[in-house]
Amino acid sequence: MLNGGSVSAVNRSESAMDDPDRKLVAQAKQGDRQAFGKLVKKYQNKVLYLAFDLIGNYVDAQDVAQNVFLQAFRNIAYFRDEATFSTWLYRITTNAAIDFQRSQKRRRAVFMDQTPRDKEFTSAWEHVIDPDAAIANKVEQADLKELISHNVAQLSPQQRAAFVLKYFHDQSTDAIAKILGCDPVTVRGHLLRAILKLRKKLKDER
Amino acid sequence: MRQCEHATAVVEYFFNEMLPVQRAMFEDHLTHCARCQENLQALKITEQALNKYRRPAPDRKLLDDYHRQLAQTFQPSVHDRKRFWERVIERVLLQPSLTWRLAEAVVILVVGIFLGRIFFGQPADFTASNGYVRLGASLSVEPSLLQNYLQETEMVLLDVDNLDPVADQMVIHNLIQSAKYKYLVQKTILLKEQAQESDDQRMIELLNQVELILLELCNIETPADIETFIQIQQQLKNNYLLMQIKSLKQQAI
Repeated sequence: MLNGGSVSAVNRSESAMDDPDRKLVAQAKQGDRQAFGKLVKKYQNKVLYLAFDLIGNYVDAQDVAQNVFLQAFRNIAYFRDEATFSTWLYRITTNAAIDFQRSQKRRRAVFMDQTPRDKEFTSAWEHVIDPDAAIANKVEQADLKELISHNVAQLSPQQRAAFVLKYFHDQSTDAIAKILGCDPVTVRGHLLRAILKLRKKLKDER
Repeated sequence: MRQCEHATAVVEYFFNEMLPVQRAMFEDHLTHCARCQENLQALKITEQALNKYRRPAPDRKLLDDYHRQLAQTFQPSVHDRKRFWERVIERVLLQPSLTWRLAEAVVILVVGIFLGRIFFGQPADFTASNGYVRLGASLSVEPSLLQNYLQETEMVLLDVDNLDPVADQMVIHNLIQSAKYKYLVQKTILLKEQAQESDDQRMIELLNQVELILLELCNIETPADIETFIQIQQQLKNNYLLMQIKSLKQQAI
C-alpha cells in the first residue's frame, strides 16, 4: 500500500515531448553531425563526471566517456522517444562504466583489498556517517572526497549506479529506473541497500 | 532485527516522492517501526555527509585533451564541409523542395531572357541613339504597315517640297487626290492616338506636324491656291519633317 502510486510516477514522469534536446536529436538522427556535435558539447562534462563517479578515476572515465559518445552517435537512429536524450545518454554511460569495471575485474579486486590507507578512509567515513560523531565537520574536504569515492566503489554495480545518479547527478527515481532498466521500487531498494551497506561496513570496521 | 515490508517506502518518503495521503500513512507507520526509523536516520546522515562532498576536479590537461578529442571527432571538419556542399547539391538539384523548384524556375527565366537579348537582338522598346523610339515601339501596328505609311507620307511630302506651285498646278491637284485616296490623314490620326496611349511624346509631336501639313494640303480647294501651298512648303522645311521621317524609315529597315 505504501509502495503504491508515488509522486514520482505522477509528476516526475519523463516525457520525450518535454525533452529540451528534441530538435537537435531529430537533426542528428537525419545525419546532421553538427547537431550531434552540439549535443556532445552540452553533455561532455556530465558524461565524464558520471563515468568518474562510477569508475573512480578520470583517466579511465575519459576513455569510457569518449566511447559513450561514439556509441550514442552510432545508435542515435535507434533512439526512441520513450525517454529524454539525457536519460538515454546516462543509460549508455552507466552500462559502459559497468562493462568497463567488469573487464577490469581482476585489477579492481586488488584495488578493493583493504589497505592501511583504506582503513584510514573508512575511519574518516565513519566519523561523517555516525550521528554520534561530533567531529564530522572537522573532516578534511580532501579526505572526504577520497573516502566517498572509495566506499562507493565497493558497492555492487547497480547499487553504485543508483547511489551515484541519485546523490551526485540529481536524477529522479523514475529517471534512474529508466537508466538502469528496472522498476522504481527496485531503484529504491538499491538505494536503501547501498546506504545500509555503507553504514554496516563502517560499523564492522569499528 | 527483521527488515520491514515497507523498507523501500522510506526512500520514497525521504526523497519526497509520496502523495500526501501516503506520506501521512507512512509517518504513522514510522512511529512504531524501529527498522524504518533506523533506515530514515541512515538516509539523513548520508545526505548530510554528501552535502559536504565535492567531486575531485579533473586535471586541466586531461579535461582539455578530452574536449579537444571530442571536438575533433564530432565537430564539422573540412571533410564535413565537402559533405555540406554535397548536401546543398542534393537539396537543390537532386531532391529539390517546392521552394527550391520555384527559385530554379525564376533563375532559368531570368537567364533565358538575358541570353535571348544577347542572341536575338534588342527588345522593341530599346531607345535609339538619336533619341527616337525605334519603329513600332510605342505603336501596336505591324511594322510593315507602319513602313508603308511612312513611305507613302514621305513620297507625298517630297512631292510637296519639290513642286513648283505655279508651274505644276495639275500635279498638285493629283498629289492632293493621292493623299486623300491613301487616307493619309486618317492613318496619321490613328497612329497619333496609339502614340498618345503609350505616351510617346516624340512620336506624338512628329505625327502632329504631319497631320497638320496633310490636313492643310487636303483642304486646298483649288490648285490655284498658291499661297497656301507655299505656306505648307515653308512649314515642311522649318520642321525638318522629311528628315525626321527619313530617319524613322532607316531605323525601321
